[in-house]
Amino acid sequence: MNSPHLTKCINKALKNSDTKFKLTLSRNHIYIPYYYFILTTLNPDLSYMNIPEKADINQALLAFLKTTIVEKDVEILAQTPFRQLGVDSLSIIELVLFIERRFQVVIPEDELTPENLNSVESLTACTVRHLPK
Amino acid sequence: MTAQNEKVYLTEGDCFMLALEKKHMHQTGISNNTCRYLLTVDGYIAHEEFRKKINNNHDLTWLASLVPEKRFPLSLPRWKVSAQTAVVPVWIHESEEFLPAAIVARKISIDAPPSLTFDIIYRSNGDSTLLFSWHHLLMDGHGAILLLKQIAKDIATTSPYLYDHDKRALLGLRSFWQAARAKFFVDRVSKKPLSGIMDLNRKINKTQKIKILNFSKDETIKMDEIAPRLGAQFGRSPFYLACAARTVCAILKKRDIKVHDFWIPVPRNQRKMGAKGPVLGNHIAFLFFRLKRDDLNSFAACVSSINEQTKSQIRSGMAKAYDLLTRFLRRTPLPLYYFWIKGPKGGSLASFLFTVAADHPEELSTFDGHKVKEALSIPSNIYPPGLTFAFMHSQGCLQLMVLYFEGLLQESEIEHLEKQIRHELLTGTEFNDENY
Repeated sequence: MNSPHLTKCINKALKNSDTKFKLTLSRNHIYIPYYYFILTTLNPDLSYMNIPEKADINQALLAFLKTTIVEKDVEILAQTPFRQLGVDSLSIIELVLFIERRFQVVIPEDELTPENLNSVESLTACTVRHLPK
Repeated sequence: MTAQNEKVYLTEGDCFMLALEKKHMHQTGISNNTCRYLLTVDGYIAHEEFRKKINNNHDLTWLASLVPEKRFPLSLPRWKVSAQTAVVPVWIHESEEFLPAAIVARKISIDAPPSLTFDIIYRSNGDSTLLFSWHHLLMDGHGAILLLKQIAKDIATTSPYLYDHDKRALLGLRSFWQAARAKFFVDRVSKKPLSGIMDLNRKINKTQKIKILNFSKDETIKMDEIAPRLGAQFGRSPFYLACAARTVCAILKKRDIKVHDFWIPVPRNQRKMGAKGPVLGNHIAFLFFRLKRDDLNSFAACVSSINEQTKSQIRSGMAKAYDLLTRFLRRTPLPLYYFWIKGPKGGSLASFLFTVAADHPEELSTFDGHKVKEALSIPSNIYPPGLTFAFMHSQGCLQLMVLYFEGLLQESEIEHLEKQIRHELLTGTEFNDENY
C-alpha cells in the first residue's frame, strides 16, 4: 500500500472495530491478520463471518430453482431428482455456478458426479463438504 | 377467446427465424421450415371425431390462421389473422411407410395458412400414427408439446398460456452494452476459417431424408454412464454434441477436405420447467460453440471444450446478452438483420445443426384413449448447412434423427456416419474403420 493516508484510515478503522485481533499498527503498513494463525492461536469468535449452514444452502438453492429455472407452481422438495423436474444440463451448470458465486466455494471437477448433481439435497451435501472449516 | 384480439408481436426468436426464412432459405429455395411431431398409438384414431375436435378448438384455428406482418421497415413484426378460412386440415393415409413421401414433400408456408396441419396414418397392424406438422415460425418444439398436451386433455388452450403478452420494456444503455458484448462475442467465435458439411460444388436435391437411429433402454443407460466418464458431468448434451461433431469431421476427412474449426449454435428452451405456456412463438436462446480442429481429434478434449464453453457462456451471461441483442434487432429491416447475424463474410450460419429436443412428456403416454407406443420430434432442417442432428428421449430410450438433403451426403457417407455415431455413443471410444 503506498498511500499513507489510506493506510492510516484503514488501520484506524481496524483499531476502532470490535475485532478481538490485536494488531500492530504502523503509519505506512496495513497488517492483515493471517487466517491460519488467528484460527489456531487466538481462537477467535468467527460467527460474524457468516459461514452458511446446510439449511441456508438448501433454502438458497430451492429459491434459485423457483425463481430462475422451474415454474412457481411446481412443487419442489430437496429430495426431488432434477431429472424428474425436467432440469436440463445447462440449468445444472447454472445451479453450480450460483453456489460458487453465492457461497464463495469451488466444487472440484471430480466431485461433479451424477450422484452429487442429482437433487438439491445431494448438491447441498456436496457443497457443505467444501465449505471453509 | 377475447384476448386474441390484442396485438401479438413476434418474439426475438421469431424475428430471427423470420430473417432466416425470408433471406437465408429463400436464396436457395431448398429447405423449408416445417417441424413435425409424431405419435404412434396402439389403436384406431377416429379421424372424423378428431377433425371435429380440432376445428372446434378456437385457439387452434386461430393459431392456424396467423401470418407475420411487418408494416413498416422499422416496425415490430406482429401476428395478423389471415382472411383465409381457418380450417385445420386432418389428412388420412393408409401406409406402412414410416413417413409417407407425400407428407415429407408437403411444405408449410407461413404466408399461406393454415400453418399447422394433422395427418393420421393407419397401419395394417391396427396402430395409428398421428403426425402434427407446423411452421417453425409459429412455435418451437416445446410449444408444440404444450399444445399437444392440451389437445390430449381435450381442453381448449386458454389465452394466458397461448402467447406471451408482449414485454415492450424500454431497453437502456446497459442493455445496449450487453447486446454489443454479445455481437462482439458472436463475431469473434464465428471468425473464419470454419469448416462445415456444406459443399458448394455438390448439387443438392430438395428431397429431405431422415435417418432414425433407435437405442434401447439398456443402451441409453449405458450412454448415461459413459457421458460423465468422458467429462460430461452436467448432462448428456456435450457428449452427444461431441459425437455428432466428430462424425462430421470424419466425413470431411474422408472427402479429403482440410478441416478447420467447427461453429455450432445450440438452441435452448427459455420457458421455465413445468411451464404451461406460451405456445405461440419461438422462446429459445442460443449457446455458441467453436470446436477447435485439434479438439475434434480427441473425445475427452472435445467434451471438455464444450463443457468449458458452456460454463463460460453461462457465467458471463452470454445467452442473456444475446437475447438482448435479438431484442434490439427486432425492429431492424430483414435484409440488415440477416446481414448482421450472418456476418460480413458468412456463407453458412453453422457447420451443422444440433438440437436436443425435450423428452417426450409422461402426460402424453396416452392419446385419444390409446397407449402411445412411439413419439418422435422431427425438427426443421435448414439449408445451408442442411444437416441436422436431433436427439430425443422417449420412454427412457434415446432416439437420434439425422436429417439431410439428398446430394449433401452420399449413401456411403450416411452408412459411415451411422456406424461411427452408434459406436462412439455406445462405447465412448474413438471409432476407426477397422472396428467394422
